[in-house]
Amino acid sequence: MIACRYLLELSEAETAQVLAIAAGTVKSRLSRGLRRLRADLATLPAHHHEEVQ
Amino acid sequence: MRVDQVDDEQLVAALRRAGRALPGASADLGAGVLHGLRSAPRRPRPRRRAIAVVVAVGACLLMAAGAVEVLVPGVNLWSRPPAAQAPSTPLAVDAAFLGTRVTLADARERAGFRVRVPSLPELGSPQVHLAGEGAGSRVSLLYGATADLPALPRTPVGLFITQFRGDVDPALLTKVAGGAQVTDVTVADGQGWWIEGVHEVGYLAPDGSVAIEPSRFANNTLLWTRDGVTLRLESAATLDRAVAVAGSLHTRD
Repeated sequence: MIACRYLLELSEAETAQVLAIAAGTVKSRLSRGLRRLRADLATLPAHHHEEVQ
Repeated sequence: MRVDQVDDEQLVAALRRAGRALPGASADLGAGVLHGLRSAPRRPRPRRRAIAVVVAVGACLLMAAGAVEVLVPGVNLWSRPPAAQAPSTPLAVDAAFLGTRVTLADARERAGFRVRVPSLPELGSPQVHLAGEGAGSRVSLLYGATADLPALPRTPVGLFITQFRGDVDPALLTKVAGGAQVTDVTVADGQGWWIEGVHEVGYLAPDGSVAIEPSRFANNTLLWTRDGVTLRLESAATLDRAVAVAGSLHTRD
């Protein structure tokens, strides 16, 4: 979901088509995906948590 | 701002920048994936295939970005350059990756596909490993080094053959190969690919789940599919020798 929507920059409709899910499901799953990614980032070793732009 | 303090908008912006900056990514990569999906002939499991393509591309991009340290085994394939720093410990045989050591007969009975082995006596008998059961299983054959099959880095292994149920998408393979050179070759009268250079390969399992398959030996790889099974041969041998070994593979002793 994250890869489709943000890395490949597909639209929500295209993401729904590619993943064969309802368009309305895309937003909710994206939200969950970002939350999970953020949680994963938080578990990275301390040296990854340097200042970023 | 610290990495662990970014908000959604900043995280999304970072993901988009990462997607555009990665090797193998282009402005029309997403459009290309969509076009490929739309123009591809219908298959029995269109949703699974679509997800396979997306996960394969996405995993490649995420990994190359260093955002998520995941590797993926199964239907589709991606590849990326490995981490710059080589492991300091010998790799010999990673049992966790290869699964359980079994006899060839066991592997043939328990794998969800017809297991192929080389018919070249000079190779000797393989050390056989089985990971998983049934359709999602993976069978690995390891042969010791010989004069024309030099030992793979940090191992006594001269030839490493992995096989599992799944397909390879050629367009996707060349698109996401990272820094590795991918060449179309003929293997046993069929299509195959020779991947030169250090790389890693990942797959999506036939059941749609994401699993891990790191490249253990980081060497030249011959890749091909037969009867719905993907075969991967890693060695330090020449292309001709690898193709000869691949051509000798058969399903029964």
